[in-house]
Amino acid sequence: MGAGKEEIRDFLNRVADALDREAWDEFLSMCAPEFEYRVTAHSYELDEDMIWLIHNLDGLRHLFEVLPEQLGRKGTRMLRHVSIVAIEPGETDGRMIATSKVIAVRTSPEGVSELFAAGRYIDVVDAAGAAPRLIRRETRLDTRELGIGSHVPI
Amino acid sequence: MSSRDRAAWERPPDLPPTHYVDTAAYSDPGIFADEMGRIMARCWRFACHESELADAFDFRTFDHAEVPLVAVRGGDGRVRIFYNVCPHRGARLFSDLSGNARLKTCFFHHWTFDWKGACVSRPRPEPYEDANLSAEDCGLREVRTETLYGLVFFNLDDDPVPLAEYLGDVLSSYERTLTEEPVEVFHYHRATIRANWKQWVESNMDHYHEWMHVMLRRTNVLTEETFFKRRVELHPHGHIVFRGMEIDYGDQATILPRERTKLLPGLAAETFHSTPLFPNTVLMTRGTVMRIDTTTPLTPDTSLVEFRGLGLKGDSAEDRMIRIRQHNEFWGPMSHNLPEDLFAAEQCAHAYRSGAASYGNICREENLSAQDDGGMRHFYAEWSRRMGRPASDPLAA
Repeated sequence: MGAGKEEIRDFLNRVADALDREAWDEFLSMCAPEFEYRVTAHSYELDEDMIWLIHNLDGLRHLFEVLPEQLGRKGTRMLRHVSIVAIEPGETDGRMIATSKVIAVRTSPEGVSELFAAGRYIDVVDAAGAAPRLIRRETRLDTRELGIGSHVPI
Repeated sequence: MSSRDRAAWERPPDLPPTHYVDTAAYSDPGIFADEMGRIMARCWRFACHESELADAFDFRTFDHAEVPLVAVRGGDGRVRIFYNVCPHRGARLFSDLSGNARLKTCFFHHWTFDWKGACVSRPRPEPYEDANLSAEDCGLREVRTETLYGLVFFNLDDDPVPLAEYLGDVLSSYERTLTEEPVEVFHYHRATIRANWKQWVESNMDHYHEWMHVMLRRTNVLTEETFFKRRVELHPHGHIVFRGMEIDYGDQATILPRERTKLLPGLAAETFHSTPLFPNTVLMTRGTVMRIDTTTPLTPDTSLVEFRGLGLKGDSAEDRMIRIRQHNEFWGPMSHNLPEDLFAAEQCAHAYRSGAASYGNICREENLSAQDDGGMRHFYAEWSRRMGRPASDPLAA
């Protein structure tokens, strides 16, 4: 028997928590081998959908590997407040689609917090196995001005 | 060698005045006001790519001037740019960022304008006629607009030198890239940063900062051999071309080899080419993609930077996806390089804003090769000419 909605809800909260704690290996362990992560936004300037980041599991591993060398301020943190809106069966057996609202708050080393981004997660979850795993995450941003940007997935 | 006391720290560098910039140039409100009048109001500036106005009556609003503007493709195919302001009471005429409108009616009092900027309708016009305010006197303010290789430029000055004369042949090496096959903008994002506009412009002319980027440390751009293949070409009116930079992207895990994607015409897979246009626009290419930056001064220490990514309009879905990945690898808002560049601009701005640093140093000379600061000196020579004062002493009477 696969994971139910409550189990998936708990799973998605743990995924967000792993990202918040920058526990990258833990996050990757929650992803299926075919995992794809993308950040998207709609440009009203171009009237087009845009992809701002797209990675498979290897791409994410590489991203996390170079993060310690990436220029930034030590102590900067991002906290993702996730509110799950719906968890529904996908078209494929054993897959569930979860839609969540997400607000990412970035806090500087001095402790100043500011809204970094608002949007939605559209997640495809493998709910058939012993434990749920992410097959796909699209972070669909409403926010299109990200200041200096980010090296860390939202 | 030793640290310096205050007097030594604040003393002008023992360098030719062309080789350093007084940091007041980045922070003084009077200088900023002069820049708006002497530079921004008089130079040709990039507005958008014509693919953003593909069809007749398409419009595109933008804020990268000191006034709100709207570009409109007319029924005659020509792109015109107007103040995005209703001449009646100053309401913003086009409130959407883009769209299509044969006629535009102001939301406030329903004055209507055509694509040539003529006022064609005013509800109950008789009292205006009685006051001798005819519709003929109520047209939109049009600004000078010209297009080269699909790049739309505007000038707030009604009587500027022609665009072709202003640019000369600085963009000639992009002619094939921009015209041989239709190109289009597939990426747009913006960043408001706490830095003076020139600090972002400088970041695209200062190649000495390469070591800052982890991904450039991992590719081959930082070798003696590749350094000296580079050339800094200085063009009239403050424009610059950096060419001859070859990059071996190697087996970076996150991108597909550039040879796998259709190259932009006239470009090789491994070349990096960059063209800063005075005062605030930079075009750069990496084989498969072009980026255009536009920097808009908002206040002395706040700037709006807009980033466009361009590829081939006829891309297959597969090619477009690879092109997007290759654009995002270095130039997206979540890329390896761009957040580092923006971080650097803000960190330098912090020191200049506080007065903690008195001078910026642009004195590297390497025969206009490698990491020569000649591009920045050329920019500041034009800046000084237009401002009527040297960047090394910008508060001079």
